[in-house]
Amino acid sequence: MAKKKSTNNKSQSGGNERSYVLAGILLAIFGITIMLMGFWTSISAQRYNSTSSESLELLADMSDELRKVNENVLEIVSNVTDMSDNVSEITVSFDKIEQDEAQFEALPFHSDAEMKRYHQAKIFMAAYRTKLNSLQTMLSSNALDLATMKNYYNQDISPLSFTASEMLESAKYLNNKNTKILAKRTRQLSLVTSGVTVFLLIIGEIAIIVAARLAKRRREDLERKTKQAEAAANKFKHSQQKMEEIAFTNILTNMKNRYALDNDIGPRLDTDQFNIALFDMDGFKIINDTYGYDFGDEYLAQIAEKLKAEYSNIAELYNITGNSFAFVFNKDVSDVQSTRYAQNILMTMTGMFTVANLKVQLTASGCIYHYIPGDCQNLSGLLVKMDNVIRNAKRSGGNAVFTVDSI
Amino acid sequence: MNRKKGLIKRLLVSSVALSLALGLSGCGNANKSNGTIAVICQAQGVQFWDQVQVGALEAGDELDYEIQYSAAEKASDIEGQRALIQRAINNKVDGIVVAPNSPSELNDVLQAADTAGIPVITISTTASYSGTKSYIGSSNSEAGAIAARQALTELGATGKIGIVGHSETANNSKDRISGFTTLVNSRNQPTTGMDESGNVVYQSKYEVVETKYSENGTRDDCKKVALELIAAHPELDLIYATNENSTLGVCDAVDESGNTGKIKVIGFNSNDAEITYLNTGTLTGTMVQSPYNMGYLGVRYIDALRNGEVIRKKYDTGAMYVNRQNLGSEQIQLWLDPSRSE
Repeated sequence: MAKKKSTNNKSQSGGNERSYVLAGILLAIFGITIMLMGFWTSISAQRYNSTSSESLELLADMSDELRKVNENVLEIVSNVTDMSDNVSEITVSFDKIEQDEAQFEALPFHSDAEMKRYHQAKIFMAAYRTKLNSLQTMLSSNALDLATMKNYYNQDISPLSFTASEMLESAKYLNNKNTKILAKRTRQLSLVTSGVTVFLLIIGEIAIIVAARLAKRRREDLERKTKQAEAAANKFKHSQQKMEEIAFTNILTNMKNRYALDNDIGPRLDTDQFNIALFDMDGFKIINDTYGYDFGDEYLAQIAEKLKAEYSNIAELYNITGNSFAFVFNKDVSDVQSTRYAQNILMTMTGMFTVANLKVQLTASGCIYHYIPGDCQNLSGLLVKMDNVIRNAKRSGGNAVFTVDSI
Repeated sequence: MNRKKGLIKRLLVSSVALSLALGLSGCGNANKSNGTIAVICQAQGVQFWDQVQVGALEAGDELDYEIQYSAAEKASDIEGQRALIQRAINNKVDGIVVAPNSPSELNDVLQAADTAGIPVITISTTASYSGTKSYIGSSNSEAGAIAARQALTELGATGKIGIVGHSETANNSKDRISGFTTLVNSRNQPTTGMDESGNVVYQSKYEVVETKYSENGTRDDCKKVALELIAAHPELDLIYATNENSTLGVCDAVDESGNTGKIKVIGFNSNDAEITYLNTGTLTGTMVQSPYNMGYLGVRYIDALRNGEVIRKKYDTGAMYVNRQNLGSEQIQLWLDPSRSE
């Protein structure tokens, strides 16, 4: 389970890394796009501004030349005798206008409206020139007098020149206006660009903060879970110990039990030499039958307490069954000493005890076994051997410690 | 994890939406944002004023103005036009382009516009109120003089002339007549000598026998007036008419009275019916103005005024004499329809 959990964490953190990288790439792309947009905007604005001022100059130039033509025409109308200079000046002006027209038309960025007005101006300028040419031919061949020329001026020339110059002015006006609008758009675009930049920066900041918070929360989660797991593991270990204690302890007397004995000397049977004594109260069944199990338990508990108090320092004490106690003497206790101790133990057990204000005393039987390595296969074999000896002791009147004969 | 993805998605979507909104608002503002200009003409159902409207609308498109076009029912309808001007003032328009139906009777409402800070430009015909910013149109007396010169050329040495004016009050009508008669009279010079019977011999002798005015400027009324004129003066050689409806009314009358070719007609403007009369020969010649330019420049100069530019008090848009001989020329075709140049 723990393993599964850890792989889960791993895949999650892997996902996080990917999304951070993705977010980083996206931000970088946005940044680059905005930079390019800004760059493009400024380049195109520059290019537009230069061509727009160029086309405005050309329109203004055409307008000037047209004005010169008008001045010359007015001079001709007022004084026909000195016409040749005016005629050549008119020709120069119209040639200049045609050059300007070619240049103007080659430039980009004209708005539709501007082009429309320009084309009207162009057509009227051409009509103006044609009309002037025909009048000049008539004048030079003396087919036209001054008065008639004046009339022609009013009814034919003036409307053409007026319309041509008004349309040129309109084209200039629209060009200017368009420039202003485009400048405004450029400003707006750069505003939008910087707005988006700021916006993205803020989003980036927010994303980082959010990501950091999420990461922190996840780390805290992990720490808390680890602590919980540790606590659970500790608890488990503790209860395992407790279970072991329970398994190897007699609950009533709080002495080690038969399993503990098996655990302790089982491994020693083939290798160690040791002294072990086993005791059993004689006729304990009568106590239980007469006074009840609670009384019997209390009696045994008192015996156990007394044995622990007196013999814990020389032997390991075990409560094998209800009233059967085993003593594994320490290694420094010799065979002879162990035999004597066994007599002492018997005395202790058969002493007077006060249980529930009643004085009770029973005899006990025991046996002492000076164990030699390899004597028994297992604990059962050992206990059977010792039980047989105790049974013999009981049969022969009890209240005695017999010795197990070594084979 | 999912929540975060959602967050990023939402942020992306909102950023795109924000930039779009900013971008679109930047583009959208340009549409008709400069304001509203009222263009108020003399009469409805007259092609001349329709051309004014075309010019005004094109200028409105180019300069981002909403154009509120309206016209009085007929050229004699002063009160109707006053109501239109008043409505424009009430609507708080940014400028008024008007062809006034009276030279003086609308001065009060023009002054009201001026007081309200609305610039007024007159087109085609003037008003005597001094607060108008400019006049854009033909010089009506000059156009009358051109018409007179052409009339005299058509007549030869002598001739009797009748005049049908579209209005007794409108300045354009009055100026076109005065310009015409002044020139006719200047050429009407008796020369030396008498014949055997003792009569004065004229080198050239022209006579404006009568000037009659239509009451309401409609084609039918002008026709009625022209028929009366012809009936009263069977010896007429030429009738001069001062605008589109009067020209058509006179042509109708000449045809109806069986005087086609006998009585020459010189008129004003160039609607489709007039061009037809020009081709059939009833209409000898017509003074063609540029209503398109009047409408276009009217709006353009309102915009110029609003941008603080100084404009002239008068723009002479000119008038050209058109007859069957020069009708097909490129210059005249252009003059008749400026939008052809596209």
